[in-house]
Amino acid sequence: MTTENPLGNSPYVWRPHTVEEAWAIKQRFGEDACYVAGGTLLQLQWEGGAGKPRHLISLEGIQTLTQIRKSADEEGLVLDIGALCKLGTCKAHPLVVRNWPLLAAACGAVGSPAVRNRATLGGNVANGHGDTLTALLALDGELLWFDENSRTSITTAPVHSMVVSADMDEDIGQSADMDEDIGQSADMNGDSFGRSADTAGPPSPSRLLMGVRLRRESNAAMSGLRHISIFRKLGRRAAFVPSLVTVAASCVQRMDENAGSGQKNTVHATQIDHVRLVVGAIDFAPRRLTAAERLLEGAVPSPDLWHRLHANIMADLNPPDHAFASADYRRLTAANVLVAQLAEACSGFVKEGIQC
Amino acid sequence: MLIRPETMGDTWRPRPDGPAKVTGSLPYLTDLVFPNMLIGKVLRSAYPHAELESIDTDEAKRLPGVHAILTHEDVPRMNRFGIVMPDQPVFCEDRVRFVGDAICAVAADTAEIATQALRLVKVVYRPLPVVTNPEAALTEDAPRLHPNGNVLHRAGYRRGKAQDAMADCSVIVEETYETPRQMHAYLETEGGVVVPEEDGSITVYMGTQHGYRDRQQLARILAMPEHAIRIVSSPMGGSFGGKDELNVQPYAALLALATGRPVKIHQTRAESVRSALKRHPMQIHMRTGADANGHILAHQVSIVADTGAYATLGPAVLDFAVEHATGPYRIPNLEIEGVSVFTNNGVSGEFRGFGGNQVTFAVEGQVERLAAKLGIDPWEMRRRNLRHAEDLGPLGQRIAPTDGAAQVLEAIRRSPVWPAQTGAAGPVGVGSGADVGSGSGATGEGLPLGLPWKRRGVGMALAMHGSGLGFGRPDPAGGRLSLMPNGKVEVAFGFEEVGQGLLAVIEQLATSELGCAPEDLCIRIGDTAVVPVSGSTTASRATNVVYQAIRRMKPSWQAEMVAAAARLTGLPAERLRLGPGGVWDSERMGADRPVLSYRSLAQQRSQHLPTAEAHFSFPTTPDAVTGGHYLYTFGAVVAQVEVDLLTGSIEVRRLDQAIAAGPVIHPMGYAGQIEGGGSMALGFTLMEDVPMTEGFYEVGNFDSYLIPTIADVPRTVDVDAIEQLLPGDPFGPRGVGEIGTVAVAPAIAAAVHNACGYVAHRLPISPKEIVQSWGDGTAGIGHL
Repeated sequence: MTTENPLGNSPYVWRPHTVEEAWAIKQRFGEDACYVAGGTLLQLQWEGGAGKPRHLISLEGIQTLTQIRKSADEEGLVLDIGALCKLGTCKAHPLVVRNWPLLAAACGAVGSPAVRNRATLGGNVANGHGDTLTALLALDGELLWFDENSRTSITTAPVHSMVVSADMDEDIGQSADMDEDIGQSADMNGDSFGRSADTAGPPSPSRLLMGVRLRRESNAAMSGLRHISIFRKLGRRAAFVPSLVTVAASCVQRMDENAGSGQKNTVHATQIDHVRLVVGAIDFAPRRLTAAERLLEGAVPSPDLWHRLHANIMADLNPPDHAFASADYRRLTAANVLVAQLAEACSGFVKEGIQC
Repeated sequence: MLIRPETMGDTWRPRPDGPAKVTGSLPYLTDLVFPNMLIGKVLRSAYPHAELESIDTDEAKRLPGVHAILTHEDVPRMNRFGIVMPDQPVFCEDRVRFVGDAICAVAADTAEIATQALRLVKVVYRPLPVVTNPEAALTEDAPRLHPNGNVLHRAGYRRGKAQDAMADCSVIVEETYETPRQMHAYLETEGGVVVPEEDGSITVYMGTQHGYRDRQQLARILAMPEHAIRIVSSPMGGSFGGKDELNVQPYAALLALATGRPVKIHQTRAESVRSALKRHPMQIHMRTGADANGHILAHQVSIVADTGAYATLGPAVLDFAVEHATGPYRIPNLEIEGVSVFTNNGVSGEFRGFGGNQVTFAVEGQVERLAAKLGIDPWEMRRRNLRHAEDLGPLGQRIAPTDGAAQVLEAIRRSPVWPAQTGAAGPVGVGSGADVGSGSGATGEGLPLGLPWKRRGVGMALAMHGSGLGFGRPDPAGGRLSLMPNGKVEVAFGFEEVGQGLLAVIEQLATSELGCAPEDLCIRIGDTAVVPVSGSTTASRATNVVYQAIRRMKPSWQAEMVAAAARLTGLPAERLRLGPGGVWDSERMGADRPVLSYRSLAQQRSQHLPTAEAHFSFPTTPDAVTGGHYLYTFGAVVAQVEVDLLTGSIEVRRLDQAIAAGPVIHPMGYAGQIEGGGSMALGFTLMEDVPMTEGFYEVGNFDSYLIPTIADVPRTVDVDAIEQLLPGDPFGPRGVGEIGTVAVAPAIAAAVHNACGYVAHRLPISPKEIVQSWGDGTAGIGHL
């Protein structure tokens, strides 16, 4: 046995109190060190036979990363959620629930209550295929990074940049790329907080995820519009399950309450805009369905539109086979759920809110 | 009687071991730590089928912290185990037959060192062709896994002329059913500690379902007399049949004897998945015919069971499946045959339901299909074919008369979701061509959430389940009752608490029969040093044995107690009776204390304290039908499901069960068995399977082998316990450990069909097949 480490095979655990400290430790040990927050994913990976790093850098002591901060400007509301914010906290936070129910639903879909009491938003985002990443992609979220260049400031980048490079965006069906993506995920050894922001590449020791930023338009800007969001995670049981398919969708719909029957809570099917359609799963990074988004953008819901949307997704989406779900089943269920639930939500009977 | 807290009165009370279990304070055997204790690990085969060319442990032995490494050369006597026929090597000599086969075992200072040592063991294998399924195993050119070939066991039963009778049938349905390789998924994985004692004996602190049989098996392996082996086997964190056979006991015992130190082995979940038993996957072909009135005339059954690499209780499981392949029905012409086949797919063995769950899914599926073809209501179809109280058993053997089948059938109609209660038309039955778009499966409930892609349906099923081991198998039973020197009343049974609620049953029966209070009792189980032979804690038999034993011991023990009290108090024996805390004067029952406490009685008597023992056999049919049972329980299930046509996912909203098993002893435990059994069977129906590829498990842990969570089980489960036995029935309460698992799958399958028209013949039910059962899979958006 190696005897360098007096604790045997147990890693050293570093407990920095600031981001700078944590970052410096990571620079010092490079690949031998791994950030850890809730540790739930690392635990799973270790149980699955992955090697433990020599050094664990616990982020738990960095208080600033646990905060949720609200600010407002003329464009609307801005919410910064610290990377160390527990999923359970995020799921129940009044501001999140009220303004970004899609994210609340995604947080609630991860793991079990016990896992959500430990696991963090940052960890779920940074692992590259978490359910919250799917949601954040549909919400046009931004990621806040601490990196080599910024040191004392924070770099923002769209969530989009986390999961895919621009040229892959158009084609979720590049299975070879996705396989590579999966392989890299597996090799990440849980070093998710340091994952490169630019590509789905290997972990970058030079970045540390600080948090997530969400924006919501001002009430004035939203006048006459309503938000529609869809989130659904499909697994082999009702809860505490890896995702076979996770879909998230977001759009706004113009309300035309003067027309039609005049029944309360009834609005007419009218044009939809700002469409985001996202599909992810445990083994592939979430992708926006940009062709399908273009189809819906500015369109007025109709049976024909929904059937064309279904056909579009079926043609465009090409997820990999999974041990417990074939590619064609995943494609079909993603298309079915997105189409049926969007159609339902846009039909005017659901005033606002989320369908799960 | 619906089991509800408000109707149960004083008997609705938590089990004695409940608080310590739910608060986590109860120490299990795998929690034990002894001074000088070493940690043991077992090296399992790298291949599902291979010749072993060499095993080199030299380098591993030199690793600091390693105290012993043992191979087949270190087994003192019989290098085999197995309850029915000992064919499984403790350590493989020259051949491995599944990936859980043991090559060697190590004892080291820590688990890390033991793991490292196993990495240093050099094993040279010569891989052999892998037998991956039973059908292939039965072909001429298949590799022979055992000297007698690949057939472990054949069983069958015939009555009348099934083939000829088919000609008289108006309808015939034919189907092949497939059931999954379910994992027991007990919370506590296999393990414990073996301690070498100063007198040369050993104490084995490890869970099992039959301490005395473990002792017998270990004695053969270790070349020790049985009395030199003490088995402490309670409490356990679940078993469900999975720890009935030996698992890691031989390794810890051999290592403890080799090192002279206590050795603990506690398998990780991954080690458990790899080495432990699973439920037999079965392929069941049935051809069943009925006349125009729905009377089943002929039933042909062929069962092929994948028994894996070794026998364990495989033969008995197959016998049980054959016996129960007719369900609770009168069928004049039967032709049942079954074969249990060796493969390199793990080891299949004993599992709650014991082959009954598989064949019940099939036979109930047949009844549904026939009902649909004939246009007969599924409930009525069952009524027309139901067995009568005095009928012989399914193998033509005499059984204890029982009206359980009719009782549960009648009771289950009262489920609030069954159409008889909702006023809706009855379920249409399987194969009627129900059109998903028509919403025909909604049974009057419409579209509850207003979501056009959801469909609700209900379905039902029946089951008949034998308890005890069956004719031809030694099935000893017994117990002991004694006043201890400290004044406690010792109630002792050679049973194990595996989570089923045994302690509550013993407490309830002992207090109600003997009159003493729970605080007066000292319940002893699960320790061969202090308990009598009661037989195995399996086969839904323990509750019945406890009842019978206490009833047998009570008269003489009570008489002895009263006589002793009479001598000590000077009161006439006729006036004395046992009660809480001691012996009471029946003419002064209003007194605030007994005339003589049990403690005083014990202290003043000091010698020859009253003791009674019972030794008997579990009730068995008098007819020489191998494996045939005598006591049967019955269950009926109504399931209500909601199917999502977008994804094919199934939500079980309701799972009501009516059970006929005699008097309820501990209502909370009874309901727990039926509810828990229902949840376990829900997993069997909807999600659980251990897929294998070329003899390797495709899952290794609970992150990929999924069992139901609280979010998957119905919020409402009615348990209707039918307590009435036929007049004169002397056998009392039957066990309910298994019956709650048996009829769940076919009820859910029928409900799914009722909801959306999909007919399942394979478990777990595939959401993909549901979605794709309508052409392009877009039924869920058909409304658009």
